[in-house]
Amino acid sequence: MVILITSDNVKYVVEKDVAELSVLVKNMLEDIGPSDEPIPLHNVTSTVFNKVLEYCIYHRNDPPPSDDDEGCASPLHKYLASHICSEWDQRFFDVDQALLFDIILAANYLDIKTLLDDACKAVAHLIQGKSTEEIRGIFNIVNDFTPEEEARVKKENVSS
Amino acid sequence: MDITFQYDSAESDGFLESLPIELISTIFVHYVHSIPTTSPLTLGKICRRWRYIAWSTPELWTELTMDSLHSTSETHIELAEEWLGRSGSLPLSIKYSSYQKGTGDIDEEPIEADSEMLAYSQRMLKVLSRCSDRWHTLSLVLPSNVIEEIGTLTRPPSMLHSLSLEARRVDVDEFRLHARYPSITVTFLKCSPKIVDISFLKVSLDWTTVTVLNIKIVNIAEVACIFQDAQNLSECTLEAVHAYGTRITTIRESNVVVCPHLTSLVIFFASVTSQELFCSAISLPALKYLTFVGMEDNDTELSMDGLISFLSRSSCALVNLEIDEADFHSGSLIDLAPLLSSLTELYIWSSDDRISYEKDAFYELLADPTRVPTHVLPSTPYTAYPMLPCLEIYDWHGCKPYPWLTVPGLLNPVSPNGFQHRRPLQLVKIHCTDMPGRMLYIPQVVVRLSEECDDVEFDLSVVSDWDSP
Repeated sequence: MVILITSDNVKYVVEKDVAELSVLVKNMLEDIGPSDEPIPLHNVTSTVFNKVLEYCIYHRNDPPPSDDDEGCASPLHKYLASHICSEWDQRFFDVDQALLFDIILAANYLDIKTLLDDACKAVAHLIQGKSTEEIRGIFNIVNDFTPEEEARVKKENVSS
Repeated sequence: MDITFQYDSAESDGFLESLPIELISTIFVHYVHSIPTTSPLTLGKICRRWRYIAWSTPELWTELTMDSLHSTSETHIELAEEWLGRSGSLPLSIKYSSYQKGTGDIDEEPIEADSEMLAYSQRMLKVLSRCSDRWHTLSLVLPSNVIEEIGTLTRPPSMLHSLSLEARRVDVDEFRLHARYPSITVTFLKCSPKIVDISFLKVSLDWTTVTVLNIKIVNIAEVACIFQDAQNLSECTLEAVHAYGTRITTIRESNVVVCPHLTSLVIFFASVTSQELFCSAISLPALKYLTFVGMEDNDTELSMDGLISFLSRSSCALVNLEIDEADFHSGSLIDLAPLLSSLTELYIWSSDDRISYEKDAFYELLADPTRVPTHVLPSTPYTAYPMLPCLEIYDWHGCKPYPWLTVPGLLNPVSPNGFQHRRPLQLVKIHCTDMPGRMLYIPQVVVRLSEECDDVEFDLSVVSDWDSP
């Protein structure tokens, strides 16, 4: 078992294989060797870590992503297509934007690649099929293009 | 296109401000690559910050598709240039057609490539060629006199995984009948694509790595050379295989070419000569799936003896066969049947509306060999039991009456190894489009059988030709 402490001082006792889905934790465990010392997670609050832990427990037995690029449009495409979110993942990421972005930051800090990719995919899903105005509305973005820039944007999109 | 978009990285807005740029890049990559039709240009329409991040993320610009609703213009060329410039040093997937979607297709009325179109096509090819060393997947449809310019590439396409080239020209008949088509001889010799699709063009390649190959219009001598080299080939479609200009004696005198791993072949012959040469020069021991037909518009006559000789020499265990009975003016499937002991799926078209008792004997043989006159029985050894013991799917589609009374015999016992059992039939599909005035009904005994037999799906229909649209 591994002891982890979040930034708001909440202590978690986690099975080693689950904790080691985080490359950050795995590296720290390797560095300190066998020890009961708790590992501090400075950039993650307990609210966010609860979600991270839920994800890691559910995905603890997933096979690692394949590197095989046979028969695909490009290696990048293959990589992305290889990790398709399940129904469970869709429900897991059905949270408010603030928490979703906190999960992304936590996954990045803890270096949990599959969680980071799935969370980014969930954000990408929010803007799929949406118009420019709808996307601006979703993320509260102000259109800051000058009229000349707007004209240029319009031109490149008409010809594509 | 000289507008410069100003972005101050200190500026940011909304929820996304909590994320560093590299994470927003990752979100953008997922957005663009999760749906094939999604364009990164959409991201550049939102605000300056998004545009800056999108434009600085090479992974967003690795797939360029320009088979647009509009013919190529100056803007397209500039766009392609900028697009590829943003892709860094990553492998590229490029799809470009000089022709507007839906125009100039091979089967449609050809359109003239005017001087403006030729000029734009040449310029676009030059832009795309500047990063030929990063081509991973390339699909080009170009006028035939432009496509040859690929032969002058300065950067070898050493990353190429998938290559699709189609040359188009106005005088399609000149193309088809005389096989005068362009060639690219050097450019691709030192790359190792796995998937190759070539139309109306001759390309010299290192065929050793190719596993999937489609060629539209190809000389039988080229086919022999390709099969000789393509030792990893597993799937192949050859359309309009011709023998124009082939030194027939050269092929006949050379050794049989063995392509050891080819499991699936779809082949359309443009002449009986090309079929005869193919059947005498090629051996495919791993072949499982075969579609073997003549070109529809050429009214090509094929030789059943040639097909039998090819399959016998290949010693392959076919599981799927598709043929057009009408291609074989002489000879019958009856002689082929002893070679189909592993066949599980048989698809027969019969586009000839003439009734032939010799051909119908095959259907009798399938049902009950004892009803077949001895003089038409196969010359090779056969048993008194019906042929094709492993048949699971039987699909017949023709424009003449089907010998319906042989249908119950499909359920007769067969005996491949001395043990009688019924064929593992799952589907019997027979569709007749018949001439008016002939027998346009399915006999009651067959209808009753199809209703009573629970474990086999029967899909039987007869349609008058006058009823067809």
